[in-house]
Amino acid sequence: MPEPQPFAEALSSSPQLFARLLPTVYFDKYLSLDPPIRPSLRSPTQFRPCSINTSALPNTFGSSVVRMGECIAVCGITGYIIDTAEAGPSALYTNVDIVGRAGPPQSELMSMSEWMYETALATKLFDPVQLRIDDTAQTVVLQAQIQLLSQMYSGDVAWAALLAALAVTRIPKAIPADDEETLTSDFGTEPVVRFSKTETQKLELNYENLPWCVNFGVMDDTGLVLADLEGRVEEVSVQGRITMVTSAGTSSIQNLSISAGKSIISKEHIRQCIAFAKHRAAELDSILKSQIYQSNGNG
Amino acid sequence: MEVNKRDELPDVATLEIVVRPDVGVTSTREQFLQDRIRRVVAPVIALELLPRTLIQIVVQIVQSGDTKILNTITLSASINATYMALLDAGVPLRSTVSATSIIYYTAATSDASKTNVLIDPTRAELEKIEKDIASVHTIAYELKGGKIERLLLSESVGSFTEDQVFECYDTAANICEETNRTMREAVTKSVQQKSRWRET
Repeated sequence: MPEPQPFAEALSSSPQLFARLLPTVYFDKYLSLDPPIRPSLRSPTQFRPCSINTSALPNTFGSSVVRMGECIAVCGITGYIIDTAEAGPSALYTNVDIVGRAGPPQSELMSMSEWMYETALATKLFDPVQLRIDDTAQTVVLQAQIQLLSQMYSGDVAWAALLAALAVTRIPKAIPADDEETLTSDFGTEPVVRFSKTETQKLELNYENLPWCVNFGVMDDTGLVLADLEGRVEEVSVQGRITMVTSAGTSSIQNLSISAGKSIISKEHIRQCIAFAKHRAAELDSILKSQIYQSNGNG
Repeated sequence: MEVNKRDELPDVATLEIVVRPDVGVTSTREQFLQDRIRRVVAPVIALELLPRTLIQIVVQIVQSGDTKILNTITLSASINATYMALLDAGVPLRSTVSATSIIYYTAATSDASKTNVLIDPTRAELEKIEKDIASVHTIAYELKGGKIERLLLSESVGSFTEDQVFECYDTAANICEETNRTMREAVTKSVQQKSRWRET
């Protein structure tokens, strides 16, 4: 590769301007260093630092705040009671929103919302039978509201927020609503139920090691694999994408989404990414576990 | 097509993809499909040959081959249909595209650990095994000269292993070459019919 010419003497524009005008050239200049490094100063295989906080929101069954790099997502889980016959295939409905933006949702967010719903359904995070209310034909259905607090957002942060919130979700027990707080009904013989304010039961998940979402990029020309893309420069410069949902400690993968763009993605790339993803999943598991341990009053 | 000044791009064509369902109103599901179709089709169209124009692709689903919770048949069929429409419209393309759906399911037999495979199933076949689906894979390949060139898109959902995914890719490669041959025949026939007036 030809030696990059020093540009400081030519126009003396700021690096930020350079990044905005010519993101791919800017990116290449960083990657052509030895060893290659990204503008965010992460190495190609380095993931973003992640922090997780759980149970911070009041009035929810479970909640979490997840930060990965510059992206922040907040998830709140609530629920409502419906007739089991009316319940659709999923006991969990997800909605993704950006805070502070008015108007109809962006198409990218809608696509992400659909992806989350489908992945949650296919991943079978929990058994919906535990949400059925005894002695009634009714069941609890969970609603997860995920708010993206940063200008930059990615599916993996939103998904991580969902997982962390579900991991601490406690479903209030349903008790007969025979007090003055409920309207009486003459229809049918079904007992009317409402959520208890005091008794809750932990939501049992089907996973010991959670299925986290991890993303990678594959460069067109060099085939270099980059872990955990973030930022406009990387999004624009890297066409090939591999996103997957997988958990540590098992050979199974829950979701694998590959979009090549103009790059050539080989089986070797995919193998590499799967291995990295499993490591990352283990790392995220331990971050979440230690956070839950701490928030339970230990340490 | 004429493009809104606001959406106009100075160096490439603007690509607009709309998916309309057979039943009901458009939802996030259609947004998802639009996004995936775009990922396949955008690198294949020579967008830089038609700057400041709009290429509008509308996929109207006439009959859904999917069950209520699946998207795979719709996606692979939409990709194939979009490609054929682009050919028919004479939009400059770099290569051929072909997509397929592969489904792994556990058989309801005594050997519950065995996984079976369905390739491009009909809706009836899907509904029969719906409860036993282990994983669903939608794969699109780029072909040149009738031969697989590279993987364009792969969407796999469910519970599967690395080996199963690679097995899918190999199977899908053969299916896509087959689909490509079928497309080629259809296009050849169509062109011959349209050119008929020239033969006299």
